[in-house]
Amino acid sequence: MSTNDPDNETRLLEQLALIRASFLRRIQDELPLFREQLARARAGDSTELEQLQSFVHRIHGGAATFDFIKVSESAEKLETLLEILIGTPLATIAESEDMRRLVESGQRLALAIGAATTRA
Amino acid sequence: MGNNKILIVDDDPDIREGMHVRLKYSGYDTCFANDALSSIAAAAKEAPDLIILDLGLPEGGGFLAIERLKAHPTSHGIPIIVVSAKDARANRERAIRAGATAYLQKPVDNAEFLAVIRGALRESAPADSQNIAGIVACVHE
Repeated sequence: MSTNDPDNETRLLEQLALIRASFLRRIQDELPLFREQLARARAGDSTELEQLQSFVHRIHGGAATFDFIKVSESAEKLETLLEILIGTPLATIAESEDMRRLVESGQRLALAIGAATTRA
Repeated sequence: MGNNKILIVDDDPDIREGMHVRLKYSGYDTCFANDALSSIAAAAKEAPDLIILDLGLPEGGGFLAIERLKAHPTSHGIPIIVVSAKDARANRERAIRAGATAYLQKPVDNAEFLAVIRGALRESAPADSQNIAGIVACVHE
């Protein structure tokens, strides 16, 4: 099987388009849980930070792979913030500037996913 | 001769599926693992010719997976290509030091992706088959 064959190339692109749509649908479905985790982290539950990091990393890589640039950029910023916050005692960050930025970045990511879904 | 088999290690099912489709259309067989620990078992069971691995993996992370794969007698010789969204400037050197052959940052251009795979497979081929390839090339010249 080779991508040099135009029919194969077309089939490959069709399959990739379906997988791209599946990715977007899935992260849209996961948004309510993401918002809950973000709210719990803000309320002081430090265990949520690692859950958030896992989700955000998957979105960062997947959105880059499937060419959702805004979603990938938003996820990257959030992932960087989470790397800073994980390992820091939550009591010291709960009301901090970093936590405020985390919540804002999380909201921006949710908006970017929503916008990508509307465009798709 | 059968197709080369590639183990895809990524925790995102759509990324695994996307890579599988691209590789299948380029003539490769694939198998899968979705975290660092299961990548060790999958490599031992499937004996792939090459491993494509994300860094942000559950159950230990990608660096641990590379180190364990390189320390394991059945997988130490298998080339590993890291494909990650993580910043290449901050992570490439560490990945190569741990034993990876190459580091590609997502999103990866398909032509570059396939060229790096071909290069890694060529370099890891047994010396005999490299010599044969050289002889064939000479005959054609």
